[in-house]
Amino acid sequence: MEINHWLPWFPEITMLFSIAFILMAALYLPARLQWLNYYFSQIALMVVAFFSFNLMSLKQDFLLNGMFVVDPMASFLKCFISLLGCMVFFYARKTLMIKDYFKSQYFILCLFSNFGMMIVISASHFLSLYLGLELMVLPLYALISLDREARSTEAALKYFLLGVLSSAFLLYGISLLYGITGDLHLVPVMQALSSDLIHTPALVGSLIFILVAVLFKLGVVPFHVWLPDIYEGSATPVTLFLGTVPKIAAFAFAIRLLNGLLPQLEHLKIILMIAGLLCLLLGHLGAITQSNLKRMLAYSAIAQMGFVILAFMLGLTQGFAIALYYLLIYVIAVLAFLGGLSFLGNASTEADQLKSLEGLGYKHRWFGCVMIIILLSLIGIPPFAGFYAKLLVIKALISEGSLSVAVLALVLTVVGAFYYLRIISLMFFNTGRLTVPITFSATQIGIFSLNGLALLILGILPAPLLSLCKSLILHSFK
Amino acid sequence: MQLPLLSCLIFIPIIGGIICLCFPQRNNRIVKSFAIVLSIISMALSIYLLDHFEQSTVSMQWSEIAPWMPVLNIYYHVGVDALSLALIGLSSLINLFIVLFIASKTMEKSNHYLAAFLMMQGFICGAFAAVDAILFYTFWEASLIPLFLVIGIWGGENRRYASMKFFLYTLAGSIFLLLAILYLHHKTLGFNIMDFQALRLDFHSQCWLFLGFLLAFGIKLPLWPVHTWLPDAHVEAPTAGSMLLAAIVLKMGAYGFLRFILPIVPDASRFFAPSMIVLSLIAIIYIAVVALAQRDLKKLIAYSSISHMGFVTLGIFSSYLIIAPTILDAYSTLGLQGSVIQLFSHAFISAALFLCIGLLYERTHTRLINDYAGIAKPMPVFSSYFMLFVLANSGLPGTSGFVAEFFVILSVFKAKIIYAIIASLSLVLSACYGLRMIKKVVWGPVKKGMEHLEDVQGIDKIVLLLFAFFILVIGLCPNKILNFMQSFLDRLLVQMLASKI
Repeated sequence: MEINHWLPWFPEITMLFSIAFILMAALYLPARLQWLNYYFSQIALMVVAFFSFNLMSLKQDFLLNGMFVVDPMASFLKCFISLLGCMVFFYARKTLMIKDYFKSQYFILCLFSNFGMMIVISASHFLSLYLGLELMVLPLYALISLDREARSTEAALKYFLLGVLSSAFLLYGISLLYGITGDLHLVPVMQALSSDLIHTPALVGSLIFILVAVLFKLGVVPFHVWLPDIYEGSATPVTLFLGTVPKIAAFAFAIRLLNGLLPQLEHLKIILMIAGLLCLLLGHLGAITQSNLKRMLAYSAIAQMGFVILAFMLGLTQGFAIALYYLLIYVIAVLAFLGGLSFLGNASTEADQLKSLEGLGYKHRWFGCVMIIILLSLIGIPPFAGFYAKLLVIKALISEGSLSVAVLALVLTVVGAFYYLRIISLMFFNTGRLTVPITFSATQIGIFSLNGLALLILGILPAPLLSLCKSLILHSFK
Repeated sequence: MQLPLLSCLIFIPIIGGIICLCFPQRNNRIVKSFAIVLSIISMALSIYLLDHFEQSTVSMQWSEIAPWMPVLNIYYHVGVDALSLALIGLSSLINLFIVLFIASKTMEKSNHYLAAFLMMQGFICGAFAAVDAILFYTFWEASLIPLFLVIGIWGGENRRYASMKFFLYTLAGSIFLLLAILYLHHKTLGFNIMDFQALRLDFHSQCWLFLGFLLAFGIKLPLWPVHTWLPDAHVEAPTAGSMLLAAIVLKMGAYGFLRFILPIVPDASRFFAPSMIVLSLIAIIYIAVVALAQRDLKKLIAYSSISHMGFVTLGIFSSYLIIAPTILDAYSTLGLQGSVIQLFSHAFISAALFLCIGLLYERTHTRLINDYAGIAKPMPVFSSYFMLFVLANSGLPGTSGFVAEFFVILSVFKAKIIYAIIASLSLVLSACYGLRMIKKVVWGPVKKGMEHLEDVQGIDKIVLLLFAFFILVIGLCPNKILNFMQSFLDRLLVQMLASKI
């Protein structure tokens, strides 16, 4: 068989073989060489990223009897999550070493989850979508309980039960849809829906069930309550992974389904609008009252998802590219923030309280400056990238005539600014002694700075990434 | 090819500030000289621009345009007319004073402190020079960051509260500016402020836009009743921060009125003019009464500063009552002229007063009026400058304060006598609190422990002298500014009168 036939599969194949290889390595390598797995995983992810990057120029292509699609957006997202994975491993390294988890489990579980996400991203059939989703979340349940503390076990159990519930919703929705249309391929099903006069209560019900699963995975109100507990219960390296990579996969999951759903359900726009505004409201208000950093971050994630949902609401032509752009910027910012947190703490103390940041900027000026960039970008202050992402969403909302939604979203942003500013104020305006030790090597602070400065550079030059997002969406959804 | 002078003016201080940040702590002297050199370069550039400015035209000069986000029609577009350029010159000048003042002090982390002020200078110049609305908004918001950090890091006891309040308050106003800009973009499909000004709008949307702009610029100005962030920010900010805040940052609010509100929504401005006049009068009188009750020197000056900013809006909106669309005469621009002079006068007077309070605080570490008495004896030179600034603040003829307030009151007098009577009460009130302060602080027997206070020396003395010089120059020959601004004001008047409905 010629190589071209296998080309679109390269990222997945590489991933699968790497995982198998690292599993073997973990089994046969002596304990003192287990650290090698870290490098193996990094190399594997980089190779996957490289292959995916090269596939970005490929036109939309359906494989495996239409169960699997390779389009520019899928390739880009695969490349992006692989690079994200690299960064997550890099940041997680220190904490893993301190906690004596610097072995294979963390990496293998993350890679498995990454593999699941790659399938979700490329799924064009409900079954492959579901399988990918399960492959993505099952390792996450295990990852959360890696830290054998009561709260981690509790978090894992909560996530498991709720995750299973949402999967059940999804499956039920899918089976109803199959009953109505007799097909499970995404594109034909959506076409059947738009052409036929089958607008029965069963159809609406099935679409609602699917929507519930989508909102759950994105962590959108009213299916958001799991997020704070999971973030808080996980060890920092796990929160790092949970808070960044699955967001992208959930986005891909959402975009594949909403693309078909949006024209179908007339009330979907209103549902998404209310969900988005509630996200902003509950997320920001929830975050203000938290004293635990990770919990605060979870609420802030809910709030930021609100903007993504509001962008989604605007549909294919206007909204999806902006939603993608917003999400990318958010994930970069949150990665840097959690990465910065992972420098804090030692074997006995973990920096998960707001108090543990006190006086940090005062002592480590450069670290503090990068943190300021990250936080201001999360608020949405120019000239940082977060502002232009918010600007695009608001601008699109106004040109679609949803002026009042735009006003509400912006007002709630001001409410949200408070808790980000409080972190800056704790770090810089309190001269108190550091309560938690902070250590980082030159490489770590270097990568962290690049990560933070990326937000400044993307803010000064927002155009290239935006055009990229637009062309990705344009070429992937006709 | 011509040098991009405006971009230099914007980015030299910003880049210089970043370099200052990276300097190691111990090279304090190098950083200080570096910052002074940069401020002098900015000053020289502004003088060059002021000198070569073509006064007869009203179009934007030294325009630079480059695509920034072409997908969205956002351009890096800068240019100056008389108003922008005059304010840029003012901010370079005040920033030079501030940098000189900081450089003469020994303080912790002075390189970061200087960096904040240099960047601030760049951002403010950028905001004044921006022709693209998103570029304007970017600079407008970015200028919050250095000041937030300055108040928070180098501020007084209650600095965390004050800095947070400052940031959130102004951010809350700014989002309405952003909404207004995006709404106008929705209509014009571009972000050019000149296009916004030419856009025809119905009365209803003009009113909403007016309220949006008003929230943003009114909070910055600050207008009663959204002024409450300013006393806190002023009191907690370090001296240089207060000077910058009073002299330049508040002017950004006034700039917004002249650049956005009047030309873009003239009909709504006319409609709201009476209410704006009432708000300004409340600010002038009520805040002056509040100032009377202060026991803290810096708070007193802060309230006095807010009260005097009321004259800016009073002058602007009183014009609507005195001009008839058909007859334009020499008096038509009286209110606008008064407002513009007040911008400059207020910048020098309140910055000078904050500097004086800072110098006093440096020596005695107290700001309570009752803790002072008779400092004229140990500090004669300082006391005479202080006296001059307080008198200028209450409108002593010959000083800039008199000219500005005289113009505004004259204009209001033509509108309605009762307004003029109320507005001129302010002169009495500011004399009351000013002279009361002078009486307690400067005159009388020397307070125990204050006999040996050191008088001002060196750079501080020079800076005080320069402030006094500019206050007197504006007071004695205001024509220089007026001539410079005349063509701009004439055009503004035409824009104000032309109905857009």
